Amino acid sequence: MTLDDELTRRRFLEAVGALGFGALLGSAGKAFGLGVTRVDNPLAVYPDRDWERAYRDLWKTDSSFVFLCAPNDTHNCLLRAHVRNGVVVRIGPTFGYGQATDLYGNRASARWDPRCCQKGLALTRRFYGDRRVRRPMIRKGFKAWVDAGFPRDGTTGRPPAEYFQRGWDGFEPADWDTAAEYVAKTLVNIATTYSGEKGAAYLKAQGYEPETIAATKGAGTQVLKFRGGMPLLGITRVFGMYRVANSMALLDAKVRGVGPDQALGGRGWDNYSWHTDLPPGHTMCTGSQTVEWDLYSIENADLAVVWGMNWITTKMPDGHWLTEARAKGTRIVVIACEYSATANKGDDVVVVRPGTTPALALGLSQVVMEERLYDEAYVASFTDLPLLVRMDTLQRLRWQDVEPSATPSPLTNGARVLAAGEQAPPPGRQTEQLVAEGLRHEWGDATVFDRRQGRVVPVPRDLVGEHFARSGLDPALEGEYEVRLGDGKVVKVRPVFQLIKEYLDSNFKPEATEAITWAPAEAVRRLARDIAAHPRKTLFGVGMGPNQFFNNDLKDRAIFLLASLTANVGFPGGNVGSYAGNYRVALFNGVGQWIAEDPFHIEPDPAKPARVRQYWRPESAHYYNHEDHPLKVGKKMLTGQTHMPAPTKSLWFANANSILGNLKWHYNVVANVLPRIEMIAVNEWWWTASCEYADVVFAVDSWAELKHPDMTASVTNPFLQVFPPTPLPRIHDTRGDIEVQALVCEKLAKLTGDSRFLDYFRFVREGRTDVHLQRILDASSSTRGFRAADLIAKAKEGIPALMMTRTSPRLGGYEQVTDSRPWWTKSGRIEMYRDEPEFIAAGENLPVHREPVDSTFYEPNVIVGAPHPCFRVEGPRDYGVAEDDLSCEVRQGRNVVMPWTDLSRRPHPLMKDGYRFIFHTPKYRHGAHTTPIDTDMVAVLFGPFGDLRRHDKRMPFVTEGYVDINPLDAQELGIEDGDYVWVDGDPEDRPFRGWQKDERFYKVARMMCRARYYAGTPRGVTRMWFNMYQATPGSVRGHETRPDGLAKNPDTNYQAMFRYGGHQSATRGWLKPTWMTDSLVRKDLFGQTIGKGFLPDSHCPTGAPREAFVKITRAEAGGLGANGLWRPAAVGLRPAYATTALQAYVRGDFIKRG
Amino acid sequence: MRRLGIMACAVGLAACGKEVGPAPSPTEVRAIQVPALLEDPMDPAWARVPVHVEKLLLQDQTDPRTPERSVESVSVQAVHDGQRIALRLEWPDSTRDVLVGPSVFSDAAAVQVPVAAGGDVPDAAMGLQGRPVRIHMWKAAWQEAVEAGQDPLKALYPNAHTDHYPFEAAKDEASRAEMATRYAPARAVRNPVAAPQGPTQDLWAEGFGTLTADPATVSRGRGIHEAGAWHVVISRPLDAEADRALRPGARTYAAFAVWEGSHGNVGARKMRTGWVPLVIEEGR
Amino acid sequence: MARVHNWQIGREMSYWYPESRPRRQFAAVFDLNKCIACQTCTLACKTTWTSGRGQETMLWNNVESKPYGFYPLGWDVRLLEMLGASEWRGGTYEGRTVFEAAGPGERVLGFRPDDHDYAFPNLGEDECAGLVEKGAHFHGVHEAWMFYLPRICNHCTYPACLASCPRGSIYKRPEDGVVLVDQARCRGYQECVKGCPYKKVFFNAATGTSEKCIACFPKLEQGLQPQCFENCIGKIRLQGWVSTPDVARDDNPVDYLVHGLKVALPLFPQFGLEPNVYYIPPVHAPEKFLTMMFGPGAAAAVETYQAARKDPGHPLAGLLALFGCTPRTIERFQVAGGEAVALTAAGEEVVRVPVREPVFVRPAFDAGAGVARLNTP
Repeated sequence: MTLDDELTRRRFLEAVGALGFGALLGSAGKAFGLGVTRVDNPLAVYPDRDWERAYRDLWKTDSSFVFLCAPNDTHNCLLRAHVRNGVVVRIGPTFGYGQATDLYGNRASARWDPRCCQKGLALTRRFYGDRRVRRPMIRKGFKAWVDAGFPRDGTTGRPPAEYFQRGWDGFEPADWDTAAEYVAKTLVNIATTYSGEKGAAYLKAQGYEPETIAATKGAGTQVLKFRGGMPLLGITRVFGMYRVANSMALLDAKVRGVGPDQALGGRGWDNYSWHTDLPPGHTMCTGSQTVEWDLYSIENADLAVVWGMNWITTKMPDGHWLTEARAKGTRIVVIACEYSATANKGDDVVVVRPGTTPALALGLSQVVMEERLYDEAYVASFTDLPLLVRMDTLQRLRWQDVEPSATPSPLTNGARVLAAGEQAPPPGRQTEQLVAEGLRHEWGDATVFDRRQGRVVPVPRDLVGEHFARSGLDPALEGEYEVRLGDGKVVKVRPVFQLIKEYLDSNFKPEATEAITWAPAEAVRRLARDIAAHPRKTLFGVGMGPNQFFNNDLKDRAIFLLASLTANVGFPGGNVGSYAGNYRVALFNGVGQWIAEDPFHIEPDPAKPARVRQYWRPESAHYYNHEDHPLKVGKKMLTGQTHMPAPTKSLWFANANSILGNLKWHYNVVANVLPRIEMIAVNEWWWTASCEYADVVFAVDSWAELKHPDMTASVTNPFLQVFPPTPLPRIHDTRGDIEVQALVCEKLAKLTGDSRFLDYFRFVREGRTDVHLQRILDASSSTRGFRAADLIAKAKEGIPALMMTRTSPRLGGYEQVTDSRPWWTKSGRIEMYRDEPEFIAAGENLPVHREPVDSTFYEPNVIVGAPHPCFRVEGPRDYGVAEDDLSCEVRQGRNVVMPWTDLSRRPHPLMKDGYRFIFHTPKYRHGAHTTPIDTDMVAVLFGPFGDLRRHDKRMPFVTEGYVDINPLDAQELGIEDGDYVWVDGDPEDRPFRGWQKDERFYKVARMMCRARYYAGTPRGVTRMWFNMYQATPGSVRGHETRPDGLAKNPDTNYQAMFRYGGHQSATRGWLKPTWMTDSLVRKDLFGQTIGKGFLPDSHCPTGAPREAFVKITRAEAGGLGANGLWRPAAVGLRPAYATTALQAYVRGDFIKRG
Repeated sequence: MRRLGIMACAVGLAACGKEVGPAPSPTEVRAIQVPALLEDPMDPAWARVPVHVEKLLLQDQTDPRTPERSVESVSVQAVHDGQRIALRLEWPDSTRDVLVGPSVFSDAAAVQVPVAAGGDVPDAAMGLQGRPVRIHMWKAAWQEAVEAGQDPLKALYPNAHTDHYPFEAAKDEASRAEMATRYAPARAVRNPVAAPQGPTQDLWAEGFGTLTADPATVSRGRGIHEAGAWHVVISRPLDAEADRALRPGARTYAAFAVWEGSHGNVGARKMRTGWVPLVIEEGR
Repeated sequence: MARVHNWQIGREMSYWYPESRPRRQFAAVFDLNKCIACQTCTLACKTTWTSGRGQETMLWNNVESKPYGFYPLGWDVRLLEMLGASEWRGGTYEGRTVFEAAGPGERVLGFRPDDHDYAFPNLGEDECAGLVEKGAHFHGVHEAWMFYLPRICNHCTYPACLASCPRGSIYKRPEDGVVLVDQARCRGYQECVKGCPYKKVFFNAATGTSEKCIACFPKLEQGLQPQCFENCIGKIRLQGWVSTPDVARDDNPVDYLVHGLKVALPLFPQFGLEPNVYYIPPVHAPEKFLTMMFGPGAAAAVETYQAARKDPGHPLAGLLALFGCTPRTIERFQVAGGEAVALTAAGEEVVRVPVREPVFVRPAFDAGAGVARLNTP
């Protein structure tokens, strides 16, 4: 809506207000005199209650329909929209969850109802709100570039900069055909430009690394990036972006004149790992993407450790499982870096230093090991702790080292070796682990020292669980042994348990753990003993907090150590879970039917399955977030070959503000990465910051308007859910995401003359998307047997289905523990030790504690450790950089080990310049990412500064971003409660590299926000919520020119929640070497095949978006018009400003008991 | 300029009661006949109309009461043209309170007359059961809304923002209006305070707590705030069907009330007078 | 002024009108140990009843964090300060109620919030009492603490709003005890806004009248719980009918929790309104504060709740598991054989749930479908 629309609206509202539609004159009042109303006792009798009809009428609705609300919060709620006068006037739950059934007749209970939340109920305001994208929009400069025939510089191939003033430029509306044509044309142009030797020369001239140029293999389509944000949230319409990427193989065939055998598709970006939701250490320990448990498993636990997880705010519809389990006796332990919302449901609460989770888990494990509280049987049969490590190579002792002639033991327990050249069955049909012969030989067999026989013996991979127990082996966990190798050499070996114990005893005794983590030694002992006292009955719910630090993989490895020692992996009441994002696309492991249908051989028969051939290549978006570069430190390339990104020249995404509008290091990407990208196309229904910087914005349907059915599932609940098509007429000129994909491909068919682009989306164009849903259902192991038509019909009544996984609640490790099956690792066991060269070089062969890479008071990214035979790191000098080079780039690949006693004396390098606060940006109850966060009625409840009346015109919106700071810290800085402050990150490259030379954008990018006195956070630790809309050039212009002062772009209506900058002003894109190895063994995303190296959303960079070390300075007074104190403080109703009455109140002094 | 002079004189009358112009009317309100009714409180002709100054009392007969008196007295003048009577009230008020909001109150004034004159006049406080009084109330906020088109919300909260009202999304003007009314229950049930039709409202009462709006308001009103005082004219028909007490030649009573918004005066919390004799001159 | 009996303060007190109890009294139980402050209740109410012009900042239902959250600003602190420290002797309140403490010329002791006091409706969100130090470690009662307090109109037996209205435009429905402001007769004096100690009557500047929570009476009339109950995903709420202690019955869930177990307590009973929303106090907050807020029964209520957690056979967990499982009003209940059952007063079964959710285990291989049913597919 333009400013004019807005004025028209205002006039109408004033009419409503002032005149109230008049015409009420001569209302049916009473005759004069006698007619007066007299009320004697309104407790008893009231004369005339006819007026009550007003509310009965307001309650009435004409009709209702069901739609699925699925932001990226893992819940996915079927909601009922109630319609009056053709308008969705309110939304409510369907109460259909208690009727959900599976194919075997299992049925969920009514305890699942209701499912909804405040954000979902507020959606009416979003369907009709003034930030809806109402029609396709094209940026003026981009249009001019295309219209001018794609002019480019002769030597570099770069388009002239004047066409790419994103954020400062304006938009114009376009009809659907035009918008799609512009995108299609540009895709063709970019693919053509960057193909072949000329293309490579251009990229070289533009400064891309040779490795990344080589990664394109000369195919221009490889620089076209596509992303369907969190595609599980729309298995066809969102995942369809990857189908488009696959179809780019047709374009490559045309451009390079190659055949189907050589054609390359586009590149598809990751999701789960992009959002830093992936706990990368889960893959390292178990070989599978993530272990977790449906949240209602907590009903089966005696002890629940809620660890850096703000369960009641980020898992709201499943919050009751926690409180109800608690009411039934489950003890809730909350570990957080503040007195979190969830802390108020805790029986125990421990407040720790941010980013020290690995240390805390190691400290707890130290107590369990030292006091011998571990579960010997579990440790021996399910973990790598008894396995022997060679002290000469630090690699695991393979039986084949001892007996070179020994062939690797056969795989017969839930696994088998694929003969050379044997085709694996499609993922959904795989029933056991599949290992390539070569890989099997690489692994060989692990070994233990059998105490009974007094010698080293092999442990076949099959030998896990009961099988191991029955083997009669009695493996040593401690000690050092000598073994003669096949070549006659005698080497020393120690069990992993022994190596870890040595490391823990010398670094993580409770007192030492307290010094590092702040957790009192007494609390560490108490908790460790509690956990050990509840084997199989302790659930670890680990949240996004610990995961968003650079040491996240170490955190996982340390927690798996603790859980393994105490027999708490793989049980309904005892398990490890990581909670961030929704991602397990493998629940639809037949999705290849849709995202990888062979575009050269499209299946026209709706009844037949598609032929699958994947032409698109997955890639981590973290390189784009890392200034479109892999990680190279000194002379050392630390990004593995299997991970190598290609340059990014085009970006088209759907269902994702997190890839641009709300990405970490946002302002650096806008300033330094976007200028190198030649097209950005966005599918959106709400004008986000991503749209502000787009070239083309496709206006898509909201959930309430979907006309094509779609599917989703969850990692926290057991439901298979369908987005039903709705009867609500489209409110604006929008189309479904999937229709947009079809339309652009239609244009590509015209441009390339290849009709296969057209056929590729034939069923979609014919309104038969359900054909694709059925193909996916049939091909997926957890959904085979369901009929799409039935699921859609049920969904229309508000009833989902139960996913056909092995158990409900679904829990990782169930098969391993219950059926004694191997994990997807080399040894088949949970592996705490990593003997790949990348890990040894990084000093992370042991699960160690690394200080955070930025969020620490001490020297960043240092490994805490006294000398230990396992440390054989490649230090800075090995990479050709100075030992003391702590610059952000180099720091990422810096492997330095020192004991805490030394490290504790080495402060963060910025301390001397007044940077003294850890600044973390968690998620919160009022948003699911940025999805509903700026809906007025939700926003006004977002923290303490919400004011719909906007008495203070400085407010960017009806609420605004704020930083929580300990009152004592604030007072030291002369900051009053409610003041505006500046928050600055490392000036080396934040808010963006080169800010010193760009005043105009620095003003937009430097964060200003309110400060809240927050007693719940310890000194030195500050917090700001992550889910907000940040300042853009347009919002700043609005804030400074609009009469109402709203930080709202006058042209696009983009509404920021900051006056300047945003919560991502202080964050950065970080890459950690151990996230990027070519050697890690892991299960494929879909099915049971085991491979190694890069795997999107599994072994892949995650970044460290929670990390920032900042300086905070006072900007403006909090009082109205920048005068004096913010009102609540001024009237003494705030902590630190409390009147004597408020003080008495908090003490409970207003009442006495006789 | 001249207007100011007259005004000053009028206030002077209120103050000391001896000034140029017609003799003050200390005992009663005398409604003199004029060729054309004076409905503009600033009409210079008012200068020739006798002024009666009546002391204001606190409403202290029923709870809630008025905590403090902020205005000493009200000056009353009256004229009629044989058809309608116009009463001009004037009282000092340093603040012009024309808005109603949460804890925000409007200035107002009211004229009360008994339905039956003579010995049957009830106590001046809102009448008695079976002995009703008629009340003509003028409210600054109503005048502002109807005549200046003031939107109270915009006036109270100039920078407020709301994403959406359900009625905005309706397809046509008619259903927008219908929905908007539905979302304003008081309007939906036609509560007269929810949609003022003019600066005044006619009411009935038969004792405390019985105030009831007349379906049809026949009074008119106009108030002007100038130089620290309100000047308000309330006019109504003579010999009205509703209450015949007011007619040319009649000797009856009137009581007056004043609300000062800035002092939280609202409803029962008002300043009022007792009955004042009201003499309506026979037409000459 | 009349003399009426208020069982919550264990004595007679004075009130503007003589005692007259409805045929049945709307009541609610909120378990604060379950409240997650998600504000879904707030939005459920907002989007249903107060989406109109002039109602923007009007929250018939709100959730505030105690001790530093207030909506409107400082509502309870300010009244407690006016009322002064007072004393309970056993179950009898010996201080003055807001009716007894009313000043000259007033019907009720109260204050009218400033317009600005309705800004910042979630002030104090999640803010705890007491500075949290690094390495803080709490168990049992937390030294630094906060909890969530969801609030609606208490549909009091002795409403102060009703007593305050000089024209009797506020009344209590005999059929359900719901307290309403007559939108046809209200003249916007805002005496009720001033009188209600809970500040649950609001002035609408667009209509010039005062409006308040109507307990979703159009739903109650159909046997349905109000919107803020039906939409409560924390499942902390149960709506029913409360009896006076003398006729309480243990199969009525509200009576059982209020009179039987005595785990559910009124909010600020000392104000004297006999409010009908009953709160299960949070087990981690200090006893003194809870006593000030919920009366002398607070400590015993916490003890009972904690004891029930340790007792597998206790019906409390079963009853708590029933909260929010149905949109319909739960008038009777049973907990037996690992199941909790909700019934109508007529004995009709409304819903039945397991007290503990079962674990479904499927065969590892579905021969019919020819696929493995895997947890890590």
